[in-house]
Amino acid sequence: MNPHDPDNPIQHLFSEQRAADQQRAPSFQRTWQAAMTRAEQPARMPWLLPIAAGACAALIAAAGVFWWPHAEKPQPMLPSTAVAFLSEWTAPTDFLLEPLTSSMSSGTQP
Amino acid sequence: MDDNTTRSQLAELHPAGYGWALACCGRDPAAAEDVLQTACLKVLQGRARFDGRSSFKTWWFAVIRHTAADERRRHWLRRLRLAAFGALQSDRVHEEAFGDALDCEQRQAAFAKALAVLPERQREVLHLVFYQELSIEAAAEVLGVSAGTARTHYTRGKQRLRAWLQQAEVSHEPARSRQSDPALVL
Repeated sequence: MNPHDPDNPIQHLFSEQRAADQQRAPSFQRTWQAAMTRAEQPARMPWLLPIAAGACAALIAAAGVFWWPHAEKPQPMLPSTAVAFLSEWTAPTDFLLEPLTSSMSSGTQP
Repeated sequence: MDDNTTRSQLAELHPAGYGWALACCGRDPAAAEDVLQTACLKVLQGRARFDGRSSFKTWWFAVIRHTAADERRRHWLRRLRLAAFGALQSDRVHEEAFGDALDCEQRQAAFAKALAVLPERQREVLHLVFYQELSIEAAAEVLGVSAGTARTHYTRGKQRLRAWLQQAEVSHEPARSRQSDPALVL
């Protein structure tokens, strides 16, 4: 180790920390045994909650999709007088569209 | 790799794994032990399996790190309370005594608090390099980042730790000089 290395104090602190941790570390036997005990216990099914939440969301979405086409769509409201007026209206240039024969048969010639 | 070989390798790595679990759990011994148990449980249930793509130590450290992250997510409320406590404590980091007159325990407490102030990635990479004596490339593999990213975190973390060390030494210089000069003691 280079005595002038600026990393030395940091290395020393970490080494000290490692030594202290190793004194406090639980034995591997204890950790492994605890894991074995947990492995033997029945599963708590932690995956059940997200699945239930997903199912609920899917149900709500399906209900929405089913309801949407059957929903009564609002019709645009027109006043009845306006409808009547539109059905009776004729354009001033409508006579131009009439066939020529009809005007000849009407006896307009001198 | 059979179960007995895996178990013996895990036993061999246990002290180092405990140190890494402590680093991943904000130095909380109970949480670190719980994380190690859960990581062992994953191995027992076959949810974590060594596939030989990296070294066994790198793989095991990555399992511990992922397990600690899962536990942290699960206990986010508890973590919020700890973070609030940590913020209060971090203000006092530079006021902590750090000098020859202090014993190892006090120095370590101050060091742990200084580490706690560092961003998580910087803290992790410094731990892996200095505490676990891994190379930066191996540390990058454990953290799941590129070697360049790990190197950046390493450099920045080291700079901050050096600054903290300098500040701690300067702030305790008067105390040291009083001890070294008998005339000042009286």
